[in-house]
Amino acid sequence: MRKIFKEPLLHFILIGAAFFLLYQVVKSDDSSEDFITIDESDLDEIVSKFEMQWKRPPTEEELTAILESRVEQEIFYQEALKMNLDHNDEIIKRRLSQKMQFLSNDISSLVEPTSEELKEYYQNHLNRYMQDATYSLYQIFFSPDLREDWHGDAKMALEDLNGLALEEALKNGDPIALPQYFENTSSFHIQRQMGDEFTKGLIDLKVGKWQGPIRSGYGEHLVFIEKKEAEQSAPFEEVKSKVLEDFNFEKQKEVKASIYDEFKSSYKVEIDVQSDAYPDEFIEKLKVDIEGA
Amino acid sequence: MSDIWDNLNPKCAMKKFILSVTAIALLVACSNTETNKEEDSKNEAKVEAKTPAESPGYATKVYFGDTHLHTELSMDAGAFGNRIGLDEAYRFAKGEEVTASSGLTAKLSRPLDFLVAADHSDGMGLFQALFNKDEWILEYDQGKRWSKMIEDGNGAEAAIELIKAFSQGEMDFDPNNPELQRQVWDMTVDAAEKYNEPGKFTAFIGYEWTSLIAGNNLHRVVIYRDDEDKARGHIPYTNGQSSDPEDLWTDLENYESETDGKVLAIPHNGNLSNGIMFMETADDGRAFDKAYADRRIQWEPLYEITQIKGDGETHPFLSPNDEFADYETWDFGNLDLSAVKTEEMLNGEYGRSALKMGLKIKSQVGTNPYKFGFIGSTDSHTSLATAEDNNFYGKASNVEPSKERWNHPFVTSELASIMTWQTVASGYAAVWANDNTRESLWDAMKRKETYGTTGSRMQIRFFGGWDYADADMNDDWVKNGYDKGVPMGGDLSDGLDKTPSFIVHALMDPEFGSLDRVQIVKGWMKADGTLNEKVYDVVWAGERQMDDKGKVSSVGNTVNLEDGSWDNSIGATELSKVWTDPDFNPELEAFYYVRVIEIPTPRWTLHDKLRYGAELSDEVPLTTTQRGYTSPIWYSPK
Repeated sequence: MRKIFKEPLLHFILIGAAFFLLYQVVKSDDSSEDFITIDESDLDEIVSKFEMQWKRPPTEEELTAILESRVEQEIFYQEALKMNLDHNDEIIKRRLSQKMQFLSNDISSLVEPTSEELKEYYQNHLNRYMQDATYSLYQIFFSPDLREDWHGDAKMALEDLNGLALEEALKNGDPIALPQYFENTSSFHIQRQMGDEFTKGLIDLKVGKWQGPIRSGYGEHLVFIEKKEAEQSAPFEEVKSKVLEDFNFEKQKEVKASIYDEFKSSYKVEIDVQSDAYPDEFIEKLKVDIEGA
Repeated sequence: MSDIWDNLNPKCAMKKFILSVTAIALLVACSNTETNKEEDSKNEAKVEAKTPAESPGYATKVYFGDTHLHTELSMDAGAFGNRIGLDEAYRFAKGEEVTASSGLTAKLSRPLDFLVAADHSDGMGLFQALFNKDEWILEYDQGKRWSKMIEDGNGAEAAIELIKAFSQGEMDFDPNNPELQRQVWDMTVDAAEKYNEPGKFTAFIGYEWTSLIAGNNLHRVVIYRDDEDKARGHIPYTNGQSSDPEDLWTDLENYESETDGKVLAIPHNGNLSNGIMFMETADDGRAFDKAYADRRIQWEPLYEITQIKGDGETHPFLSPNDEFADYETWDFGNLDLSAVKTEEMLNGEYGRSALKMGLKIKSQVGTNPYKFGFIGSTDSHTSLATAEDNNFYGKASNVEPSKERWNHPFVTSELASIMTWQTVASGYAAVWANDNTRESLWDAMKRKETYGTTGSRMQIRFFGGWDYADADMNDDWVKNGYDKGVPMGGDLSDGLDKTPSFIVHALMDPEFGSLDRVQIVKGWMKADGTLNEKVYDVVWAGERQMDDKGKVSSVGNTVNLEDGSWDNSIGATELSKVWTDPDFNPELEAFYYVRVIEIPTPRWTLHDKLRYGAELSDEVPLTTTQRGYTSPIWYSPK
């Protein structure tokens, strides 16, 4: 018996017979003749792809030849489907499963959020849409390049500063290629120019008097805050485009997950591994992770 | 051919699957079909460019960005494990937190101002075709082999094989499938349009032309000034079409004449070209003529002086008197290490030697083909534009932060190998402009008002003129700089009976190390045609005295190898000077550029050691000195 199965000729005969049987089964389901229609959009597509590759339109002979092979491919494809040849084909599985995933992306872009949904999303993620604190402030710099004890000097200078007119006060400190005055500047822009440490140092300072010193990567600074608006949530209208972008980004992930969950709920996944090659704990873990609830 | 790619275009998929879409839409209970009409306002807001209220007529702001980032759409990036794309790349550059391919979360210390997602034009979408086992690709032995390797989880090996085959012109098949290219280019353009926010963040449309001649790197990044209406229609030029840069320029010329648009190209990694990036003859061997030189400098006004695959300013062999010449140099071989490096190749590989060579070629043909400025960029293949040593996600996704990555071979061949610890957390492009828009930044690149850094955001100004005096530094020195001379990238001429002076100013990055010194590098050609260079220490931190050889001693190293801290007080926060060339000869062609050097700070390898317990071997450097290189100012007698 075993020997017989190694005979190539017999293989061919068996396979042929199987095909024939399958064909009969499929055929009996659907006895009507199949139609393959070729319209101008098919021709246009072939022509434009040809042009992309060859930088010229195809001749009529070429077009005919391509069309013939397309028809051949289509017929074989249709027949293969009828015989379920797509089953258990790893590549086809991967392709189709990927198509489902692309589909979920399309769905999420198809279903546009309403204003209400966007607003709700915005409310739930307010911390992402904070408007930076803004400051109008003067700063005087004490340079480690020019002083032995720049921190001490800054502290000392502060003692007199609050008695002085602004113009006089600004004559203190050392020159540096940084703005001495920031007008209505967001903490984002202050951070870009002055660094993290300085910007964090501003948070606790009061308005209307010279304070400090606060430190930056450059050295020490005395600061006079003229005006300050604390960090607050940005009005919805101002950040709507960003909310929409984030909403869609997240929605895409969610939709994919929910489609999967929905489908998965109608399947029962069972781990059925008997071999000793895998440790029991691993199999138990698989059951929890893969079989799921 | 590849239906999957069709489906990346939502409209296409919608047509095909409209029924299923409806069904599934119901399934997931997205019952709400009311569309958001106000959404249109989003697009309007995007177009509204901010013009500064008052512009002084010169560049007032420096913008930092990366002109050279790869996403999963680059064949090699995908094979190395990059599974994140354009959305993540832009979100990350804009300062958002994203999940890297390795699963780590990643966020920049500060957002970037601009980004060029420059995926390889060759093999656009090829990785996806291999991954999906597209039928056409399985017809080829190599295609079959690499698909299999990727399936078996050996994508990185497949990538190396593919790079080698591509480098050597030994591909079984044409990696450039026009359908794939079209679709990937559409994705690239769509993303740039989506994330470009004039006034806040610039997303340039661009790509990388990956020319290789027998493994020798002639790569260029192509950057458009234009929006999608012009750039979308022009499919990127490929190495498959030609490896000769002159043919690329013809393609760029065609683009400009067809669309009235504007485009430029930036070469990189001369250090992997085995001497052919900067030659004295054209790539086909014929002697340079004026037409070649004119075209080269027209299309290639900038050079990428520093990036992850090594620093490209100069090499100790070329600059034996420059004690800072040996900075993260890669002199092992070409890109695939199919040929090792020899000393005579080096002259054709580095920015400084090319600037010098350009003076000589100008004396022969009348135009300097190498009259370029500098930028730095990452060339990262992780979709993450990281160049800071304390936040470095590596060259490719297989070397994102981990305990072991330092010891992972980057490229190996029978001849040599390059290890991951040798990759450099570098660099960024700094652009002096007025507005954060495609137009304003591109124009600044074209006029070379740019500099490159190794990742720090130090601010560097450089002006050249005939009348600067010390007093010009006192009041509005930037205005004085522009009023009385030219900024970096500019020209001086006609210096008979005069002496050029320069304003140089550097301000440290407050998140990085303070400044050790500012140097001016001068190159010139003598009357007998010989080329010379000299590095001047112009201004430096602390009380150090210049010795009688004109050198200033080392600033020292305060990095604590146990905790990664350092002491900024040995360096300066700000260094500035009006400098006059003591050796000026008005009859000789010359150039001057600035090199700023920071004090030593931890290299990314030290951070890996402290964070992950990486057990580094002794040869691995633990500290580094960040630096910046400005575009030159050229002097010409006439």
